[in-house]
Amino acid sequence: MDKTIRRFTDPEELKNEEYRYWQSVPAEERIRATWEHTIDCYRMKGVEANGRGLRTTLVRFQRT
Amino acid sequence: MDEDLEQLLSAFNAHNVRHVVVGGHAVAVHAQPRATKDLDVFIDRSPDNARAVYAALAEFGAPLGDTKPEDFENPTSILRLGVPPVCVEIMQHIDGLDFNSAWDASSEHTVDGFTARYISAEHLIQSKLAAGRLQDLADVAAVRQAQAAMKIKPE
Repeated sequence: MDKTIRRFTDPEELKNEEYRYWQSVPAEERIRATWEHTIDCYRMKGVEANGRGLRTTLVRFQRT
Repeated sequence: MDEDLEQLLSAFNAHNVRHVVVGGHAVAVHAQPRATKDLDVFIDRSPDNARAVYAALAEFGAPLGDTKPEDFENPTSILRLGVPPVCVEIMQHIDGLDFNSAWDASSEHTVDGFTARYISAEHLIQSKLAAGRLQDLADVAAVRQAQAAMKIKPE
């Protein structure tokens, strides 16, 4: 774990640092983190991921 | 990754379905991870690919009902499988972007043994601007800021 403490005076630069961090890790790790983050967010709302829905639920939309 | 989703993506690959991942998962490639309600997939709507999509979904066991292979040639139709957060949206059309251009500029990534192509940053921005919802515009801002941040050296 990187224990460096960095001080930011500009919120934009703080955000830039976040982007630089995520862009420094492999794209595969960012994609995996998207899944983990999504599952965690839904769990916090009381919704458990259930992939069985892929075999039971189909909706077709028509663009207007 | 969810086991059922892995099986669905495996079926896509087994049937050589030409598809490009767009949406929130592509935002992770070009900016940073964020939560998303589904996996958005842009498919080639040529007759051959439409048949491949149908065959992959049938093999996977999707509840196709009265869905026909030709439905995957229809640019005005969107098919959603599953419920969030394990949900896949299959699109035959994206405003302002043709599939072959998206495919040619896309990049391949393998996650948990599954390889898929992801839309390029410029095409992602183009498609998000065309969609124009608040989340789309936030994604455009994120991708642009990530690109800018990579050009600026931290002090």
